[in-house]
Amino acid sequence: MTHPLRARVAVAGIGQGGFPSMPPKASPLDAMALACAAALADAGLRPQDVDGVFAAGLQLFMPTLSLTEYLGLQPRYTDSTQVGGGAFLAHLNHAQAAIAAGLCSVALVAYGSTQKSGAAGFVTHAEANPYETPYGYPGPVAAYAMVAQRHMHEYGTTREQLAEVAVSARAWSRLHPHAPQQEPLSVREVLEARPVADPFTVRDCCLVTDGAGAVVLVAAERARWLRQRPVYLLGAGEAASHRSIAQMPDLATTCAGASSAAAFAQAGLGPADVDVVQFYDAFTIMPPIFAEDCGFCPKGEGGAFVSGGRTAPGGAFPMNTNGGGLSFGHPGMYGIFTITESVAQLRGDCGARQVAGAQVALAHAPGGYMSSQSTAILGTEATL
Amino acid sequence: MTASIFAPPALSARQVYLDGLRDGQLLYQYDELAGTAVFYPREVGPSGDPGALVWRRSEGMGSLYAWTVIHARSGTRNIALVDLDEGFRMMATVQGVQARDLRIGQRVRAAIERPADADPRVVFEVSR
Repeated sequence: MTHPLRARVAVAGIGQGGFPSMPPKASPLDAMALACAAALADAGLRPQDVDGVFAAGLQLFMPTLSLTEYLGLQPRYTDSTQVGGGAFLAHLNHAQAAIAAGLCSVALVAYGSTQKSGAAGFVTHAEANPYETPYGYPGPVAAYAMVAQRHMHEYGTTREQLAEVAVSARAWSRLHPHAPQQEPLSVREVLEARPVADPFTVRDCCLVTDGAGAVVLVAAERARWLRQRPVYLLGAGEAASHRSIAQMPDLATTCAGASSAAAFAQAGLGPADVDVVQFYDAFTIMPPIFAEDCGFCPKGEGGAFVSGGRTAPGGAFPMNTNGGGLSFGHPGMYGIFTITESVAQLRGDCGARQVAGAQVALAHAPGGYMSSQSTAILGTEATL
Repeated sequence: MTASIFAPPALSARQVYLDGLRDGQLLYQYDELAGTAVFYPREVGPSGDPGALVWRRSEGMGSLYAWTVIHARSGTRNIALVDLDEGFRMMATVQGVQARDLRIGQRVRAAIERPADADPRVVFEVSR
């Protein structure tokens, strides 16, 4: 039986702004508003049409309120769910429920950051953890480095395999007219780059940029009357397991198994049906683990799965086709861009980086330190 | 039916933990209903019953679960996750060892640092 929420809502507009850097003294809200304006224009809608506001941020404490004020919105439904970088995929899940329940009709999902231009002034509202601060714990890079160490220890994943993730990301970004990283990158260059947190070098780590993204969702029947070809939300799923890395039950296995299973169940599809994948790649260890935990390959084989150019342009598993956080941009939280790139691919709008004939896209993002996992599966008209 | 109300504890779990460290002891909690060790210190364990949490003293022996070395402008430092033999995991650092000699699974022993100007902290040394 078809899941009642399958393709109930569709993405009617996407927008990006602020890459790779906003001008001095711009606010994260400025960047977010530019992306929202782009997404609304893309959909052929105006701010007055928005009645559902979904946002999360690192710099903005009450992002839905800030955005509401800035754009003069009048939401009857708001959702500031903050589960880290993948929050926007969780927002898709919540938005489909809210629209189906009649709680809102035009949902705007948005993020904005001035992590780069804000530099010295960049502060997040994350709380300190007294069981981490005595050790100079620097946050995500240390957590994901330890995740990589465990995965290498348990499954024999190699440094070269991780480097391939960065190399493929660069090959994709070179096909993207707006990506800042256009020079080719080799496995050797990744391995010989400046060490950051063992086993990572700086090339295993995402770029630091400004940037903003926005997505407009409406009921599927309404989307058909709007400007763009609708991209349907076929399935979404969420899971969460911990907050701090010391509390993660098994560093080499995430709860993406649960989030992706929920998304596939709603969509009535499986991994073999997916044509293009966007895996959040703040660090090179992430895509191999998500390939495993989302069911694209057996547990432990993610390193081999992403190697040999399989995820690069022309490869059997097109992944992170905008260049990802590694080579396109990473403004603090990246999850919204796994959605915008999925939609762009399914619309056939990707030019040189277009995956030919893509009908089903999977977007997946974690939050925190592999703490939350959120998955969305999107499809074209042909998947209905 | 009346609602359950739990009064605030006399001492916070963190206070008990820090007092233990100042006293030279690594304390952790055990949830007697759930049958599991609990760390970081807290008021409610996985059983959901605050009364089921009891304090125990760790022998301080464990094994290295994961590690990384941070390369900062100011120098390098390692961050580690250690699995204590009593069944809990904590973040710490391993002292007196070069990065190339850190190995997942190696045996480590806790030591307690008590700086004058900060809370005490647990560090580990490789057990020989």
